[in-house]
Amino acid sequence: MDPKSLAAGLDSLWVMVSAILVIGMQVGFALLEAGSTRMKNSGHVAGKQILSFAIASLAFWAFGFAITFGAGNSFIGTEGWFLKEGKETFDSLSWANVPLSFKFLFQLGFAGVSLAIAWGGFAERAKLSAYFVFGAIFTIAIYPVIGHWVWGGGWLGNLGMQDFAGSTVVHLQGAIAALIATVLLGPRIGKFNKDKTPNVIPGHNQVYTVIGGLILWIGWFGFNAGSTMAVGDGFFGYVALTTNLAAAAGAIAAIVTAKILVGKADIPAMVNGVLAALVAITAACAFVEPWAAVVIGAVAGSFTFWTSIYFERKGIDDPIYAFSVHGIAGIIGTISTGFFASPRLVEITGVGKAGLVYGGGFHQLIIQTIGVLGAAVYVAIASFIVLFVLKKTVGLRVTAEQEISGLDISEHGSYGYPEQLDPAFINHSKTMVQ
Amino acid sequence: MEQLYELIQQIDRAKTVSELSAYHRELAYRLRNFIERDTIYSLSHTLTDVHDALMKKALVFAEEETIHAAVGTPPKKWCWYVMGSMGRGEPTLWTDQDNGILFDCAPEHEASCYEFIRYFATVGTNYLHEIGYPYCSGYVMATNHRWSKSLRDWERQIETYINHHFPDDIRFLFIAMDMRPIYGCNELIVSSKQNLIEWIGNEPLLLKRMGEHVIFPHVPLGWLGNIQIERWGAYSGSIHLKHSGYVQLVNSLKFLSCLGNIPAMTTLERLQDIDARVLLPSPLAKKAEEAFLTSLYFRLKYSMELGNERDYVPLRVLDRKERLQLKRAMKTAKQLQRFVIRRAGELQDE
Repeated sequence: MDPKSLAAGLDSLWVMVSAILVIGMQVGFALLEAGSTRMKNSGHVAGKQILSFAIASLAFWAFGFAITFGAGNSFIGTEGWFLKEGKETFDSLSWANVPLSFKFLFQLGFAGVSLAIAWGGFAERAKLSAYFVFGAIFTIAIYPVIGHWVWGGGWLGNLGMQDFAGSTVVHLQGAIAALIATVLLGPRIGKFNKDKTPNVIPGHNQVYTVIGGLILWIGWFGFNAGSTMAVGDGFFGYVALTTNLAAAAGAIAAIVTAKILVGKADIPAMVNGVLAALVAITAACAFVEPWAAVVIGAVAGSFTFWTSIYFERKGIDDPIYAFSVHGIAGIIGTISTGFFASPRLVEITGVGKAGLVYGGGFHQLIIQTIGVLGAAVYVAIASFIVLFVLKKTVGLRVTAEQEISGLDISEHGSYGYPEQLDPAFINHSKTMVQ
Repeated sequence: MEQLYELIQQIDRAKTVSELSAYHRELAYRLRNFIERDTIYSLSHTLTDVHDALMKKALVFAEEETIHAAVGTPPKKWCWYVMGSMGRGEPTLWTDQDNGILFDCAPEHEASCYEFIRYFATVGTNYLHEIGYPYCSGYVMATNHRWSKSLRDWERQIETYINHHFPDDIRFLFIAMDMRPIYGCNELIVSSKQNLIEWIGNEPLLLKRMGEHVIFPHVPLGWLGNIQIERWGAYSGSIHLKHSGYVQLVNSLKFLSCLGNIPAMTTLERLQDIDARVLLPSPLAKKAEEAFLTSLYFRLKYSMELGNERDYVPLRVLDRKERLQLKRAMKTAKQLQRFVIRRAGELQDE
């Protein structure tokens, strides 16, 4: 085998491994969300992850990938439906020396993650039908548009926006959709008192939450380091390093912040701190030096704990704090390269310019800000229209009775924990003991 | 203050429980004019006198009813005592009940005396509830057998607390340290309390456990000097005044009192004796006094303003100066807790 073929083969293998890691993050989301919600909804919350990824897989294959990466204009791709490859159809990905099927699987993982984030805002009260309809529309008409703007040859990419693995494209998008959903759905029954003070609705299994967080942390090596789509120059190792440093700083910053603000070394807060840091470093991982990765991770981990309390006090019931962890951290991460992008790394990646700290002036900072605002406005409007129409037609939310009974029984006909919740099985267990 | 002493005279002349209830409400009204940080200690004393008068009068009615009901045999000596903030002479306006009864009688009459005491306890606690002293949520009341006993049983119980290592023992001992006689034979309570302090003082292992207990609850003051408010629930955004320095100061000083065999009643008296015996560095003792008076002031002030909300105060209602005062007091409470933990740690080696 000639060295060129060997290099291409290794690149393909690396992208496949990364795709598996990113798709494996669905496991992390299933555990994280199920652990962070109540027992009566656990089967639904975990199970919808499979449904979500199935919808994303088909919709992204048929339309989403073409709109994201297909040749077109500055706003959307208009070629490459069903992965139909022409001579210049997927030029936006021509920098990666791997076959299209690998590129698709890897990018599908990203679309699936963005959709998984959006579901955080739906948790414990949305109808199953809303998942089908919104999941398909998000994967076809919302996620791909921003993906195209930044990565598919669109206007933000042409401006030089730095978003290496998707703090804005993947995370902020999912988070804005989650925020719109949580506002339109309204708080869960029992979340707020009459005087608007919030109540705690604890997740049913903190161990699941922690394992979910760890699986996501591992998956992020595919997410960020895999975004190099090449192994030859070893740059993926550097990206993995900054990713890991940020996550570590986020964990420590979050648990310390929780201890300072509320007096408790809160475990779910620490898990969310890791995730917020990972979200933030996603844009910056290839553009910033290790020390800056630590700063970015720590700021994201710490600040998003505060925002999660703030939004709750403002009457927003975001059951797993998706908007803080993915939205606020996504903004922090995207803006961060405007400060910390180092000239050395900008030269390696060939995207944008150096940040303010390195004497690059406000140029990159302004572009990053435009990118965040542009993406946030589009996703907010598009998500609002889709969800509002859904609300007014088929309805978004289950009935109060269904919500109280739990979505496992009301939407799927069986409990995730029958021995604990189903009267028939509870009685049966007692009989067995006697 | 004159107005408050007039109220005591009116209470003494009361003929019914409902009159007492009205006087309790009247107390709230009259007290409003006297809440000042600088005179809080003397006000606290006067307030204790009024509460004592109300409770004593209610217990006179309860005793009459018990005798009239002819249940059991009245013991030769008995005493109704109070604990908690009432026991320390530093109550808020709407304090709840923390009380019990000790009695002394010949062994052969004990069963019959218990009948009398239990009936008396039921009537007494009901009357107190009626006049505005809610039942204790932790059931530290005369109707609980744990707190109403013959002297013999009481001493056996204290011995159990001291010698057996059950998790609640330390909590019960801390509660019992605040016993103060209110109606009946005072000597029973004074000597029981004196004995209790002596017994505890002679048990280094127990003292060490008590010192370790003082670390709870944690003072809700963050490392950056931020006040930690309730995150969730009906009191979201509020601070729990009792747990924001006050109880930590009180318990720390109780521990040091045991070390020094000090049977003082009020927290300030304890602190003065602790200072006199050099059980605490003088600068810290001075700060502790300031902090305690601040905590007392806030508790009294907001117990009036918030009524049934009791110890929970929304942080937003405290102005900048008050927040600074409270933070300073909380910081001192933390310092004192740390001192006690260190001191308790040394006991192991003694």
